[in-house]
Amino acid sequence: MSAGTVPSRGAAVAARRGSERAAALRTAARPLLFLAPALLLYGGFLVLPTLGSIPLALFDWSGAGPIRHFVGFDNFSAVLRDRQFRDAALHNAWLFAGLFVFTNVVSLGLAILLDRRYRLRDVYRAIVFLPYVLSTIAIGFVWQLLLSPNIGLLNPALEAVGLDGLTHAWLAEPGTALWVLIAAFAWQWNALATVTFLAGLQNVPRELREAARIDGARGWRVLKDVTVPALAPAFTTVNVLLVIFAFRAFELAYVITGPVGAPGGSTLLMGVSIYANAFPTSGGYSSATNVSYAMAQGVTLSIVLGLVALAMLVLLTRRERRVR
Amino acid sequence: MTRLEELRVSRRQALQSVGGALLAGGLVSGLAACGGGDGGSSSTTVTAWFNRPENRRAMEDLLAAFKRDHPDIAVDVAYKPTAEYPAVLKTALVGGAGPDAIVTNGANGIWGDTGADGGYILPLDGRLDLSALQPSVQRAITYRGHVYGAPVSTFRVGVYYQRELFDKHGLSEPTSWDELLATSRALSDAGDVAAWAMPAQDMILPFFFYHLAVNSILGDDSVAALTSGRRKLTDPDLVRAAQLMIDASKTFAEGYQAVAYAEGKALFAQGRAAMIVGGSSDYAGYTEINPQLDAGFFGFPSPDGSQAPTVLNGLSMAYTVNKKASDRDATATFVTWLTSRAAQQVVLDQLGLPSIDGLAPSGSDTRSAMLRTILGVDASPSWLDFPTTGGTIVAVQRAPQLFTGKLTAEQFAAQVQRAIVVAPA
Repeated sequence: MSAGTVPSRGAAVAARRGSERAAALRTAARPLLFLAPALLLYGGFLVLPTLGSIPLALFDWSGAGPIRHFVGFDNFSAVLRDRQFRDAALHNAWLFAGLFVFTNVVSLGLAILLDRRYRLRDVYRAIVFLPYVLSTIAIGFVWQLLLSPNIGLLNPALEAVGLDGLTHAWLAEPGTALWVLIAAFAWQWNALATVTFLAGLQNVPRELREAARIDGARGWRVLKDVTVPALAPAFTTVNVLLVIFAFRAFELAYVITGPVGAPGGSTLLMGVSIYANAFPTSGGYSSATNVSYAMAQGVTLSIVLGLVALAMLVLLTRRERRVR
Repeated sequence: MTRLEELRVSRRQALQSVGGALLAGGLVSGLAACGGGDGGSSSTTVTAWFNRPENRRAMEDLLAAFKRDHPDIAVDVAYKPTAEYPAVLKTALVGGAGPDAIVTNGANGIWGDTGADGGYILPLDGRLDLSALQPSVQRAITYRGHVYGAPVSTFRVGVYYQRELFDKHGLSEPTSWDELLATSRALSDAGDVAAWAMPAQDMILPFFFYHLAVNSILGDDSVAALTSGRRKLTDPDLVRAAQLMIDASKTFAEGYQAVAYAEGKALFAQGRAAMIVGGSSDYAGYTEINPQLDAGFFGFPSPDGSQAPTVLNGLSMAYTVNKKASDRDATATFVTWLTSRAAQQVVLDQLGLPSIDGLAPSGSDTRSAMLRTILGVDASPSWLDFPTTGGTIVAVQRAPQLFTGKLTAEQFAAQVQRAIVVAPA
């Protein structure tokens, strides 16, 4: 074709299709471009190490020195037989149950209160969100200082207001220690849950609630039949994140109740158990660790956690669709 | 050779000469720079880690003394926090980033997986004068027929007590288990303070209490008897050691199971608990918290008082040579120097108990007096010094249910017994 001639119809269509395809590709690639930095970090620091830990779990490796003995699935079967780890899993389940109730009652209630219009509302919002931005280790020390049987501030405060009967060795009694730990986690978790619910509430059209009121519905009814159903996506997000938060919990428990889950292992969580097997926690008196076993614990936890989170996601998404 | 070729050769030679001169000059100036600018004298730098930043002054004094003896070797010390040290060291060794001279917290750094078992350290055979070392120390640094570590300090663990409180209640150092329990109950019943500060959050002090009770029966023979299979922790008389701890736990400070070690230490130092299981280097920490502390020290009594009270004796700190040390010879020179008499006197005066015999604290302060008292008590070897019994501390950590009633003394003893590697003769 010489310069200046009109291109044939077929060629024009092909050229248009080509440019459309390129545009479609650009459109498809754009989100990937924005996601790339996060995906790289996620892949490099989470996915790859997790995948890398699977083969290590098949050996008997202490964590230092040469990797020698292949043991197949022995570590996995030992994890399933490990009574302490099963107890720890049960503690995590209690943590989840406690936080589930707390989140869907207290955090939701707080979000509703913070959604109203009144003076200093933004200050209250900032206060509620504060625990999320504070260092977890610092939070742990604060809880320990509050509840320590010897130097804690809570018991003297109770005594000072005449509530001597309520004083307890909170962290030292198996009957209270786990609940105290759940309370500490709830205090920290509440920040994210409340803010997520609050964001969800702000997406609920005000007209919907006003229309319900015009139809004669009052407070509880509006909340139950209008606000809560409209919050379905927020419920999904919060509760799926909660499963992950509750079953991966580690730092706060490690700081407050130590490497053995004091008292007597009654607050031991799976994350702490994994850490205690992977890193020396005997104050330097023993460097003995069993990293392969810790890897097997971690992989088992990841699989169970993945399945539970997936099941919750499916259930809650279905519920979301029904509500819509 | 033509004139042109001659010219070419001479030009090449000239260029080679210039290049050689430049290279040599560069090397010389580079080496001078490595010498630290001290006039070009040849010297080498050894990197070392030290895991007790609170004893920095003692380390600096040791380094100054070493520099006087070996001006050609510079030691660059990095101070690492005590609590995180085992994890930091392990990670560094796995990543190939450890120091030339590795400090160990106890003997497990010699035979454990950060030591010889992991293949990270070099033997020091022939570099140490073993005859100068205490026999227990010799055993602790020898593994599979090789000497792997230079011992710096040793520990002795027994019971510290508040002298004033004992006097106030007319009590004296107990000489049998019955007396120990009676003393504990008397203090507890008096109600002004707890009988024992027993921070059990990480189960380390309960381990030492239990270990003391077992050694008060088995004495010097403890490790040999257990590892040969002649004795088991499940033997009825040894199960009593676990039962003693359960019985004594009724007099431990309130909430002891949730108390962290630092808090327990402070409770004792401030006079809020009358007794604590403690090591020879802990005294400095108590007096730092309370300079007015009037403490005594006694060895753990035997069950019926028929044997002398005992303290546990073990290796507290040693240095090993990293296989990847840049200058192995200089590193070995530094670590072995730490066992010299001059270095060991600095250790005794500032750091802990020495690893060689025949030294006495040179000061007349309360710490020196306390060390003399501690050195005067009969000692039996610590399980922590040996790979066959070293795992018992982790086993005790995994059995905190002893204090909640979910484990009986027999079950506890059986659990700890499983951590002992028995190799019958």
